Amino acid sequence: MAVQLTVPAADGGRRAARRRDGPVARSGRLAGRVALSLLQAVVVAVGATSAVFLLMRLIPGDPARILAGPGGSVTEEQIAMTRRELGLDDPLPVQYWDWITAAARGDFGTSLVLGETVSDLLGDRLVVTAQLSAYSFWLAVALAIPVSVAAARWQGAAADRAARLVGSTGIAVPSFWLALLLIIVFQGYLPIFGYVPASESLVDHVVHMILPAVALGAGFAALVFETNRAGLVETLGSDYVRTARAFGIPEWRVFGRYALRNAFLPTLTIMGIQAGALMSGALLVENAFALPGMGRLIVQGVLSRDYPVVQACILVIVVIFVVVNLLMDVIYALVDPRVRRSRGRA
Amino acid sequence: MAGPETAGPGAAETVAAPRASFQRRLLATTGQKVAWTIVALFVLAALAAPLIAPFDPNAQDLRHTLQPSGGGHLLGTDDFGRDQLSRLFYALRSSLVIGVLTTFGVALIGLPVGLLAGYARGALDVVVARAIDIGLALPSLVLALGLIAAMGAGLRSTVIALIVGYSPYLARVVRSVVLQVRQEEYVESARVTGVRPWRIVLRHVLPNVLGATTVQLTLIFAFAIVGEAGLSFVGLGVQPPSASLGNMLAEGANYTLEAPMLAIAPGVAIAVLLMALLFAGDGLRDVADPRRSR
Amino acid sequence: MTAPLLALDDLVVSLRSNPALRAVDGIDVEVAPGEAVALVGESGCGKSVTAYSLLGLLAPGLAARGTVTLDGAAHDLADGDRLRPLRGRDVAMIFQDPLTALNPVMPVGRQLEDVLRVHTALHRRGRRSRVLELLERVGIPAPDRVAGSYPFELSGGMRQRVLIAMALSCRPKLLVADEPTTALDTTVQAQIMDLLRDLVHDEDMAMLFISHDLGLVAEFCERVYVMYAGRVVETGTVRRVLERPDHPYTRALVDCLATMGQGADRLATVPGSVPGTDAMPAGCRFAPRCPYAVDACRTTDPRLAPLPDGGQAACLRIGELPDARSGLTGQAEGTR
Repeated sequence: MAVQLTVPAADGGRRAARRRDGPVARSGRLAGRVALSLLQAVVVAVGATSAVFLLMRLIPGDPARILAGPGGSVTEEQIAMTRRELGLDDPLPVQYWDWITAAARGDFGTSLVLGETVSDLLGDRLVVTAQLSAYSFWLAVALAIPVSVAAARWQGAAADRAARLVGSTGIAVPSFWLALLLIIVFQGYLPIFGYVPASESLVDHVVHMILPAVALGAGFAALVFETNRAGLVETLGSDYVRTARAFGIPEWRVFGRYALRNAFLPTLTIMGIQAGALMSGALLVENAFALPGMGRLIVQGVLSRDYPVVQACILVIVVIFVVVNLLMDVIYALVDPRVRRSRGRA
Repeated sequence: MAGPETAGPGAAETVAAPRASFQRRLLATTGQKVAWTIVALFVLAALAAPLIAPFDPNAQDLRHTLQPSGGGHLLGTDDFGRDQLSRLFYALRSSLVIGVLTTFGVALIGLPVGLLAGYARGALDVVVARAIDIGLALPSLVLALGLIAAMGAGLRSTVIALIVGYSPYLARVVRSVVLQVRQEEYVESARVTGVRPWRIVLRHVLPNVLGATTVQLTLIFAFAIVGEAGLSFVGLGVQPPSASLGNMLAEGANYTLEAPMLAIAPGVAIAVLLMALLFAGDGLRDVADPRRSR
Repeated sequence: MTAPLLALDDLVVSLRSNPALRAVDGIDVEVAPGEAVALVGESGCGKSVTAYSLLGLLAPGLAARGTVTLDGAAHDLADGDRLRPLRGRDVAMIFQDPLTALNPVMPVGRQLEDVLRVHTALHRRGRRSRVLELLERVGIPAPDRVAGSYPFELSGGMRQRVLIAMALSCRPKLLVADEPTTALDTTVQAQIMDLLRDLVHDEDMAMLFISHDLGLVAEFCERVYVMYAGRVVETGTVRRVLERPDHPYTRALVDCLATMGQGADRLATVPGSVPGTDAMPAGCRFAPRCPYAVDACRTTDPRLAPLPDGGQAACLRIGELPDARSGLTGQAEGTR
């Protein structure tokens, strides 16, 4: 999906728990704030992974029966034994604990269909998906932030209007369709399909990743652009920017220290929320470009009901998403003293 | 009335008459008129697909596969020689069904959960609020993949997966509005005078939440359409031979060289519809939910 | 009057999109060195726009025209950026809402340092100690602690003191105070006004005080310009204007204050409202609300004319009006 639902206002309010007339704080409570964010992240991670775990238990069919061997040739006794080996007779919390601790050690079990261990299957594919997501993220940020600054600086100019038009179009273009468009346009000029590891040839690696990264990053870039531009327009019209100007602070400094820094807060929130959409989108874009990432693996897993594989893929994505949001929370607290110095959420 | 002094940077703008009808205010700008017209046209095309489709969407003609546009096939034919335009109309039908069902489902789950999380106090609030956070920590598409693994691919699973995936977003918005509303004086005084909680929620809180909910549901409708396309694109959503925007794209992906139109047309439909819906949602926000409008 | 420190000459502020719509329509304002001058009127009459155009700080949709002469040097008001060298150094400004006027994510000490960095040659350490001096100067009890605080951690009065310290930092010749106490509690309001008065006196600054509160004006200012719908309608010494107002608009304002001073339970207001820039009456702009208006007032636009006892007023019927009630300044004390 190119975009996930975004509600800047609601989330901004959630994070910027303002206390108007709070006491003069003693010293930065950053450590406390980080600890709180960490605790919340752990609660969310446990909840989300439990949900994933339970979900996989809903899959019809007895994994023990599948794993024990082809139908008909195995006795009930053998199945029962497999069940015990897999721990499927244990209470659910025990099973969850066994699964999650094993996963923490890198042991995700064995694929029911492919016969390999899931960690072997995941290994390189995870790297490809992570690379694609990361490249798209940085490509988008590197493009969207400077353009949004320029657009806000020359508000209403033709270039600003053009950038906004491209931005609102970009939000509406699904990444997997943009992938197809890029393929149609660039087939014959650039190698379209496949993957080359950076260790093998950096140039080939970049050449193979550029179109997927553009396809995946475009919608994200458009969203970052719109958010940051809107934020800048607001802060540039704010009273404190007027004060800074009234006291003769040079315009470049007004822009950097006063306007951009404040405008960046909602942008940061959007980036955190969208990180999930970015990774989901990576799964789809990989399919279009035949990149050997998690996308193909998870789709095959879903189709063949290979629950250890699906479970592991979702677990990995959820954990990355939670960690990314934790990082965003910490950066947010670093930038915004109102969050850092107030106790927890309102 | 307001002189330039009292207004901010947008000083010169005049304020619309406050009592104009909802419809008048919604369609106040040309952009809004265009956006809602496009949405209406798409809905009409989907509803009237059997009437306006020039061919049976599933009729194969293996002698005329991958034809370019022309010869009675406005958008050409696909790899089975099926008329692409007719399939597009029927695909819009799938999208509309999925969009509407998902939107209803999300409203049915997200609204009560959000009201509960916002209005309840104590342990219940904490539990429901955390549940929403957990829901948000599972990227919708990834959650949908998990649900489809459990239920099998298909239209029914797609709808359920999208409902589960998007409900937390509505719940969060509703909760945050409720948190604001419950601090208003009239709600406080209702509480102090002993009005029953469910009555307060129905009489005072719900009406305030509806604006934000409507806006959010417009977006959810839009994202359900993209969500279906994404899932069907990788073969987990609507199953062939039924046409959907996503599985048409998936087919088109195989013929980017021979018949690029197969991959272009459904995508244009998605992008145009999505853009219109997002724009319409913005307009709706300005009218129905002024407290959140930018 | 000695040579003025500030002379604003024929200031016009209009909408860029429609220059015929004027928020300020040709006004002259003068401030002598060390003098406290008030600009009064209802909101929407062009007071704040006048102040902002002085420093080239108008909203992007507005354009200024005219000249400002500061300390003998003339500057064109049309190009706001050219006025930048004046900002903070010659003219400092403080604002209505001290919460939004300070950067929320920067400690206030750092914001003060930023101003010092631009206008002084002080080095890092020098700036630090100057910040503490300034904060102490405006009556902040624990300057080092406050310097490290963020605006949201300070009370409204403290924030306004910080802004005043910022204004003092470069020893400007003129302080423009745009409704500096409107957002504050009454008791804090009095403290801030006392502080302002002392500072203006000690530092020998002139002050352009923008307010709708005639009580404050009566107490703190020497001369006053009464603005209505983008024009100056009356000017003169505070004593004369408030005791014996000549213009019917000034009279209406003074009456409001008198009513409030007598403990009226409702906030007294001038009936009607200021016309918008797009609906200016043809003749006298106050005529639609004026109890003394005659037919000529609706067709002839009066210009400022000298009054026999000094000052100026823009009214066709000066001299024909019944005598103004007097004794306002005595009552004004009660409003604070």
